[in-house]
Amino acid sequence: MTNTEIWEWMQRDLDGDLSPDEQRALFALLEKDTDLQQKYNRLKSVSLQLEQLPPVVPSISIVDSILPKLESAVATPAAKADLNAGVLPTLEVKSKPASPSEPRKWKNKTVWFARIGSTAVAACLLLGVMLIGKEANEQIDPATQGSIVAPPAAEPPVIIGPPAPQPSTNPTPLPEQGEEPPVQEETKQPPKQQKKAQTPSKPVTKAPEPPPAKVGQPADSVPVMVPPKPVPREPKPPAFPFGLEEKSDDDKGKKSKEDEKEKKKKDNKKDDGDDRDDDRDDDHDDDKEMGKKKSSREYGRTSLA
Amino acid sequence: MPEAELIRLAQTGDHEALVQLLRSIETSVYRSAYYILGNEQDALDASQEVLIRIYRKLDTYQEKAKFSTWVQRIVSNVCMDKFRAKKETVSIDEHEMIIPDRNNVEDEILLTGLSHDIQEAIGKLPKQYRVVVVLRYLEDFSYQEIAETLELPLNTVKSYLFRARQQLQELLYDYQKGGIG
Repeated sequence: MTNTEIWEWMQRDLDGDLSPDEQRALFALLEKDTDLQQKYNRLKSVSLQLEQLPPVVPSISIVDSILPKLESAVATPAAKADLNAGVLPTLEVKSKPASPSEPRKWKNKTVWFARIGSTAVAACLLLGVMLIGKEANEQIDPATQGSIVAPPAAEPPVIIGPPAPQPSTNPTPLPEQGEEPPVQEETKQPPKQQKKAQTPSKPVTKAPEPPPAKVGQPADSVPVMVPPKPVPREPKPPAFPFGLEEKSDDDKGKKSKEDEKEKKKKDNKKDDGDDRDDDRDDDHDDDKEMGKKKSSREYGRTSLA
Repeated sequence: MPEAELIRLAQTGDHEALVQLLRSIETSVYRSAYYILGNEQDALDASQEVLIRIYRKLDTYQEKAKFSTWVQRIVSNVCMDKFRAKKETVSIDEHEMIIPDRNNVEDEILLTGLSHDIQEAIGKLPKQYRVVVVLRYLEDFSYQEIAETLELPLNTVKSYLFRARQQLQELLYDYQKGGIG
């Protein structure tokens, strides 16, 4: 037996791995060799020291120290369940049966979407056709009415002469109320101050025509001045007060205005005396109207301002 | 309650059984970690990590192996990870560990006698030898159980243990010589 084999037997004996026969043979060899016996004694002392190592105990309870972490990990079963769920590739199993069913579902869905879409489109087309037909029928009637309505818009010049007195009767209450009502209206309906303030100012200036003119035009001070001209046109060209004031409103040069006044005066002097009476009457009426116009203009200015 | 029953309940999600099971292995885990790593702080850290791993991986445990073998395998793995981490961070740690140990030995040798010599000698063993010695003497594992724990061949385990004992004997003999001298 070699030294290495004896050394191995000695080691095995320390671990109690030798059979009784092996142990007896080993002790017989050790009795013969003191050096081997000394080696065996040293190894046995080491083994005894290892067996007698002091029991070490943790200074703190490790489980208690990690319990908060463990509990914060949301209860082990849940976490484990999640882990298992995450680990288990059940998705593949599900995907296999799901994969064939999904296409069918999608096909069915697409078919249904197509059907619904086609029906919806057809319904929209029908509704559109119906609406268009109704509108066409409605538009035909209004077209005839529009032709009736159109003449009044074109007639006004014809009506301008006769209706003038009628509107004048109507507007007369308006002008009296014209200056006041707007204020009342303004107080009543502040949000529409400009529109309503302008609308009454126009009828004040021109009773008959303004309503249609207002509908067609956007209520400005300048267009309001245009209608008065035609009224004097019937007897004769526009009265100078209008022109003067209008020109002054237009902010033209004073010299040019004075020249025009002189020319107009000369022309008026040249006209007949009958015309002068008519003119005077007209002038009086005009003056009255002018007073109203001035007031309206001033009102309009104020309102515009 | 027997250990097998605790394990079964813990695996079914019984939190109290799991905590009780951890408490039952707490000391052995710390003791192995302490003698493998050589100091209290590292042993505490390693023990915490070991218990947390056991807590999380208890479902993977199968009754084919002994529960203590399974636990000590985790201990050895965690301790090996600690060794690697120490080597990667500070290589001077080995020298630092020796110096305070000598100071401590000088302070406490009178109280503990030879136990400190053997502890110091264990600290000088290679890691693999240390683990085998710990498993053999502190956990009282057989060769076969050590082999299963460390997943090593049986002869390798024997070789490690025999060499470890031989080195310890030489180291202790040197200490005795120095003490006598």
